[in-house]
Amino acid sequence: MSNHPVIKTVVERIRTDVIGGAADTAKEVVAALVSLIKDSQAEDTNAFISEVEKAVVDIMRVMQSLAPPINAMHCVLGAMEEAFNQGSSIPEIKSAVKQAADDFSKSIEGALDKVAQYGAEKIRDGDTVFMYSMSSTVWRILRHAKSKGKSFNVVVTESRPANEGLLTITEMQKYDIPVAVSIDACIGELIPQCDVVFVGADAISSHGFALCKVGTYPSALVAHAHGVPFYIAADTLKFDSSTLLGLPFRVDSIRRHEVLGDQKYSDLVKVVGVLFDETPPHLVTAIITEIGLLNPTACFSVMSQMRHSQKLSALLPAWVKNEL
Amino acid sequence: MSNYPAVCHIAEKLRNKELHAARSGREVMQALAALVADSHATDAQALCSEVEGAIDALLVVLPPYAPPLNVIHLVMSRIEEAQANGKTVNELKAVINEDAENYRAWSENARERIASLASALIREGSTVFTFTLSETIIITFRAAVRQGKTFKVLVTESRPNYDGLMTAAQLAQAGICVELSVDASIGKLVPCADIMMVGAEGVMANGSAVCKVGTYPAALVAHTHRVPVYVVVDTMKFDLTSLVGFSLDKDPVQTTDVFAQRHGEGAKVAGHLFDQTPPELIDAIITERGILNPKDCYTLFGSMRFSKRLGAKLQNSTYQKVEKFILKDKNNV
Repeated sequence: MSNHPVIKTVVERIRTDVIGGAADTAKEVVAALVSLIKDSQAEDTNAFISEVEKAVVDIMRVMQSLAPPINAMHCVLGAMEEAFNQGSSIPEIKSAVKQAADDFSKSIEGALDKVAQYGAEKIRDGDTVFMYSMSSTVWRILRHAKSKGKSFNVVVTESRPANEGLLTITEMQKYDIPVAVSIDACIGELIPQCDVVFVGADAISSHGFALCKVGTYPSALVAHAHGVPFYIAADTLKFDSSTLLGLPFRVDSIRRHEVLGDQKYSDLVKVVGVLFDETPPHLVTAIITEIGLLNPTACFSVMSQMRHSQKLSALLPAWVKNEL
Repeated sequence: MSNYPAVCHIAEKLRNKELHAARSGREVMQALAALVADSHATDAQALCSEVEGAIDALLVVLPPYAPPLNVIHLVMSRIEEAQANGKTVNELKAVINEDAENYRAWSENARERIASLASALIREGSTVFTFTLSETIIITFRAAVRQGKTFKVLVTESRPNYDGLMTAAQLAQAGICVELSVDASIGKLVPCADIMMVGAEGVMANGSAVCKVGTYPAALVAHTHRVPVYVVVDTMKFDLTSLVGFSLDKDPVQTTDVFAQRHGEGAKVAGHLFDQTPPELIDAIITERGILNPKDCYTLFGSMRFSKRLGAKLQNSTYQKVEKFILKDKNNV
């Protein structure tokens, strides 16, 4: 265990799930690693590096399957490894890491605004927009379009089991955007009547598959069958570089009580399913990122330009299996 | 309008939506046959007007179910025939009585016949995805169990009303292993199945099936993953009125279906309780008359009795209260 108090704090905050979103988790992880590095008393580079790596393992042990904080750690550790491989001194390594962390934080700040701006261009006056479940990134797009004076309707479904779709209603009403709601089973009727579909994603794989709230894949199939454009709003922080190594997305299962409540059912009835499904690239018109609208099959090019840490890549297979 | 007690009684039950589709077909046939049998009419013309009065009374309250409408087509076509060929009152009574007998015999045999055909499609050790609750499907699964087959059934909740949970309970009672999930999971569940098997509210002239909402996206997933889709339905569900351009009226999803004591008041509630699965997504329709390609269902439609006069009546009546659901609210935009 790392003894530095900022690492202990961030580990505790991740473990108890008190940080809002994945991007915020990424920011906190970067800030904690930067403090650790700044305060390090290590006198030789090997000791210094092993101190940082220990902290990374501590963080990963409690981390859910979220691409943004993993990318944040790739960035910080990658910068450290680069400097180390060039034979830099400890102060040089520290300053290289600080620089990488600053660049990273800066890129997060502007990214979502750009996604909102580019995405809003895809909404025309008078459109009916379908969105699945909730996504703060899609909400930003809709708010941006509204602030540009566009008038449009939003249609959303419940998004069982947790009904996050109902949060979209409240959010739209806050901004005076007309919203209609239905049950998830109605996607086959509703999406063909809409002009465009927007969804958020939890992660994007190197071969262009998007991990989204369960129900997104059938929605994309319906949109595709009816020629309705289907956009995924996701900044490149969501590009999950562990998929480059062939690792699967880590997803949670639907629990028995989420479907059956307290009702008594025979043991012959099992509850199955997971909270996320994967939408293949051929159903997606474009992924809206801060670097522009991408064909999902272009994800590999973007990922290969991102900074990677060899140490972190070596840890990921065990992390995915929950064996770290 | 008719004062005959059996007709008034069934009209009341239809008005209150107490009967499901198959049952309302049987009961409408019985009521009309009883009216004909008890009639004191002395000439065919008087009997025809009596029956037509009863039919008019039923049409006002009839939910958009295919079976009772098909029964009315049958009876109405007998009237047209009697009037055209100058039949006697007793000849007309005899023919309608025979129709009622045939219908009773048909409905007793049809389900067993369908279950035997459909259960043959369930392979030992296979996984079957079904959507919502269908009596025909439950009977089919029970038949497969009786044949000694072991198989697993995947089903989702089928909101609103959670009809899928009832399917799960009934199948578990029959000793069948069930895996249950939310409707949104179809993208994950359906590809795991070997076949998809569903019941239907109605089959339309072009071969599309009107089923509980959510069936269409599930069939789309099945088609994409090369999972065969079978619609299991008796031919009384073949909707004759769709031949002349009518579509089955579908009830909308209610506000209370979405917001049971929840926030979000003020949002419009959209969608209907049924959707339509196009024939290109259906591998076969399993009927008591055999297994057919949905695109070929006209062959069966063509052999059913169709009344032109009923067609005209429907066009002019309030039967089709089509409330087209329009998402684009021009007042809002």
